[in-house]
Amino acid sequence: MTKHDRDPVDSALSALRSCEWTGPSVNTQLEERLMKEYTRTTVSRSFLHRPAVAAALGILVLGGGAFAAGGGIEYIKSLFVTVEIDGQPTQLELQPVGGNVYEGSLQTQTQDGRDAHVVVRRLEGDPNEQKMTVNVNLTGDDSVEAREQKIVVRHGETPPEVNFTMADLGDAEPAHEWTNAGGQARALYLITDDETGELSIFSTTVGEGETLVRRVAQLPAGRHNGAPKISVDENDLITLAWESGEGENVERQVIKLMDRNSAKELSPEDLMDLAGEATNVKVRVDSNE
Amino acid sequence: MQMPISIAQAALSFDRHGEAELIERAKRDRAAFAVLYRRHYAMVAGYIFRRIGDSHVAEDLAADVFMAALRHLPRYRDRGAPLKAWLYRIATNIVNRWVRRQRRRLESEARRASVAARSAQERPHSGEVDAGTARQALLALAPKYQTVLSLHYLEGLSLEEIAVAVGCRPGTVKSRLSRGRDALRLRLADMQSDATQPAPLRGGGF
Repeated sequence: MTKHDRDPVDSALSALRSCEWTGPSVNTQLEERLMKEYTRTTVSRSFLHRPAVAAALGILVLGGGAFAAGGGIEYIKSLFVTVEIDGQPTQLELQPVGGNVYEGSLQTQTQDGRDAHVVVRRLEGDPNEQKMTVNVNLTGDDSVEAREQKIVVRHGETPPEVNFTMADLGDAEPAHEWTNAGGQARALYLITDDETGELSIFSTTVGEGETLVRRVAQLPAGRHNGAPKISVDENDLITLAWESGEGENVERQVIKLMDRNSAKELSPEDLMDLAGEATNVKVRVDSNE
Repeated sequence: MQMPISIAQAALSFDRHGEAELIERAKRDRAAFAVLYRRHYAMVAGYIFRRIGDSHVAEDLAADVFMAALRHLPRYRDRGAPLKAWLYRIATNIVNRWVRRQRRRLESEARRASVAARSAQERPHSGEVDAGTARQALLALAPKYQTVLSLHYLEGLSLEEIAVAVGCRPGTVKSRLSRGRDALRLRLADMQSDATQPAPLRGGGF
């Protein structure tokens, strides 16, 4: 390209930029349609929000312990967890290890003779989110099994703070669909950003004449590959489980999310009950009451 | 490259605080919603028109944008970005969906344009690109590149505003702009190459 030649990209974009809109500055027919639609939807909208309001009021009435409504749910500050192995509970206190991280560990033997080493880490800080990682290592005479289960529970507003619509889900198909205890039709969409690899988890709630779309979580790239197993209980507690590895070295990542559209208040046990399968190890966050 | 201020942007000169109040009123007062509509219609229609080049289709899609905005306005919250970023987001999704559905027709039109240029033995000045060719090249790109190139170079949005409009980080916007320009350059070069290739021989030779 000579010095007299223009960058074709700049030329192309400049040519497009010079295309001014020559249509009307206001479309009056569209405005009339919008005003009619506005009147029509205003009436039905007043009914759509009643269940959500009722749920919030319910939380206010039941609150006082770990939860409170009105713009978010109070953060559970308990730093005690109960580790239950083979039905035997042991309370574990998490100690600060720096950087808003609290950690506790214990070692014991399981009924089948394996050595169990359990490490629990909790990240403090965001009042709307709880992050807990549980590492379970089981070592036998001829096997080592390691499992990591990460639990992230969000409640209240979820960042980044952008409003979403069904159009943001593009052509994605729902990864999971269910009807919650409130009778609402709900769905979960998992969308990976092609550029960054970040995984966004969206939830939808079908209301009267419209669908509410929320981004429930945004997970970093590279940590959650493949399709997770998804289950949702009647209280809208969403569990996503990824498994990787083979044989005796299996890594399992579990994320639990509570979408704020939950119809019922949840207890700390509901949120953090982490049932191990082959390990028979359960970890439960204790209430601070 | 300098970004000219469009007429639509000049119209949005009221302060952010005033807009936030107007949005809240618009959630319960249809006259306030009408004000928002009037302030942003030309901006939205112009953006769509610059992307797809058809004024009738642009009007239809602009209508879809404002109907969607009306439906979702009750849940809209002021996050520190102007309302236009949200409207651009809706418009971008609607345009991208339209482009996906029209892809075959658009590709066919692009091929016809290349053939016509070859037949007329037209050869644009080196580096100069007309609007029709530019639009076809842009529409052939992946939607994520079309979006950021359009919002930045055609609508004058900053990286931060685009990040809000498309729901990603400014760093991602920046890298998409760079890759989008590269993709557009390749596409334009391909189209230029198609236009300057000699027409295929007819018949069997001897």
